[in-house]
Amino acid sequence: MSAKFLDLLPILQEWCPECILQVQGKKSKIMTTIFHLGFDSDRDAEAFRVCLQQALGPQGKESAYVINLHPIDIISPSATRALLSASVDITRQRKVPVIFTGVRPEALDGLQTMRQTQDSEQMLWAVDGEGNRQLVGVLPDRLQDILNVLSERGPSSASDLAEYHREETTKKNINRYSVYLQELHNTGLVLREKVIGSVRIENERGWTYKYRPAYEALTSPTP
Amino acid sequence: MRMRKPAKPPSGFVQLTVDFGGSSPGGSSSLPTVVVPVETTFDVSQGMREVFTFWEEQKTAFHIVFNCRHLELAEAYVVGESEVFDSDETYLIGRGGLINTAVFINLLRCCQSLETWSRQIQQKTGDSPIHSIRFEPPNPSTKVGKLWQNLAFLNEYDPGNPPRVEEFQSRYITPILWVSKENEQEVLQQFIGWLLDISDRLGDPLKDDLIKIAIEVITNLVKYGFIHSFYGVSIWPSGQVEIVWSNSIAHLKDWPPEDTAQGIITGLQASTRGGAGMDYILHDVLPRYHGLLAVNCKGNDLFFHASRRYSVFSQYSPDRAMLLPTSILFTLHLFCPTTRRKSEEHKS
Repeated sequence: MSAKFLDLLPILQEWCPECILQVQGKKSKIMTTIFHLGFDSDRDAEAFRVCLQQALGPQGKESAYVINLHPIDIISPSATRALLSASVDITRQRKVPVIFTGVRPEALDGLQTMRQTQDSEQMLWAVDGEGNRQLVGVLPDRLQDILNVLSERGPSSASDLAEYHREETTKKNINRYSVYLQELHNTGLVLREKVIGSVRIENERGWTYKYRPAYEALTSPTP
Repeated sequence: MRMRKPAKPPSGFVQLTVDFGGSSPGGSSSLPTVVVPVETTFDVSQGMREVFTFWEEQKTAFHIVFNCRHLELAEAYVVGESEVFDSDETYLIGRGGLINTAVFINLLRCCQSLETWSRQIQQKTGDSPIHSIRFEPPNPSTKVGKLWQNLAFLNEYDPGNPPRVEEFQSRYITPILWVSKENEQEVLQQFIGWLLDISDRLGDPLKDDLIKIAIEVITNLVKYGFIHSFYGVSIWPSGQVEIVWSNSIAHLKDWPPEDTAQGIITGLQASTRGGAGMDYILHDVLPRYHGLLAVNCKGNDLFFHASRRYSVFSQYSPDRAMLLPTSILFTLHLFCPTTRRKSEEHKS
């Protein structure tokens, strides 16, 4: 499994050239690239979702969809809403995380603000030009703690988490972490891989899931 | 109601005819002229009252002149009168206080409302009562005359021939931009280009926020206001930012849901259609810049605060309906300390 990479700007230029505004100051010669959409949010979001689905193509075995926003400097609020809605829909339908890369600080700010107005469990990672990653959305503390552990430790299973927290690896404790990890996976913030289970005799299934933050798809294709 | 005699145009005034439709051929120059004085506190109802009073008395077609010769800056609002910030822009007294550009946009709203009224009369009677609307500008050598020029005010109101959008003369204020479907992209290009050129004056992330606001608002104006929309921005050295926009709502059948203050609040906050602009302004921009959004619509004056509260200053009264503007006016006040600091550093 590997991530699928898309550059947003050429997709937009082909789909709707007028939604890209490239402006240069008369004196300053500063160039700014802006992604904006029309006025009807519902229609915009639906049209953009279809455009993005087409650009992604039929679902294969991708571990993540990585959408590069560079060199877009500014995303208008209506375009931000459509971009978030479409990405969240893709994560929900395909069960594959979406990660934004090349995100400017102002665009990140807009994404985070807009995400607060949307009622959805799906979230995503936004990574800036220097590789700094930010979560777009707010996690409950219990899930944020687990995400922090995954970031620190790398790929981990429910029993790894129980061990990390120095808890007995009882079925009850492992199940609790399994539920948390499943919740985290539903948000679209982590990848998971089915691996051969631990050598412990009580593990009757013979396999388990290992989870890692979805942004790791940018650097390593498999856990 | 104060009755006003038909007035003559000021001396030196040359009458041109603007076709509002339905004017009878010939004889236009012999029509009477209603002169409406414009002062610092001019509001839309004032101009409409003058014109309607004349119409009730005379029932004849006429020209209108808005006499702005005695218009002055709202000096009462200005801070540090002795300090002139920029010799090229003498209306920037002190660090640029509130100059109250609303009077200029109210002039245009008044013209717009009178135009709508004139068309309605024309539909009933076949004749358009208003044959032309002109402005008698302030003395160009005065502060307010310079402001008039930099706002790209012309000497006549003619929606078919609006000021050209590239006439940006100032580093502090834009012209009042006439927005339509035809020039939407051009207005955005020019406005954003202007912001990029003055970005040395602007704090982060004010520039990007001003771009986002302009995109959302201008798209809104084109979708809802059609050709009758105005947009203008002032960014004072004091760090105060004033963004004004207005569009006609006379043609909207289902907005606002009610003419009351509550109806307008509901229409702005709870609209299920439209873009993300109003949410962005109310929930993101206002708190970030300690801002205030003032809305004037159908005689209601509303204020949306950074704290997410709103207050109602005055409310719709059916008795005054005839004199109310047929447009909605938004004034967004923001304060950006970084922009103020940059101006102070520049000055020192």
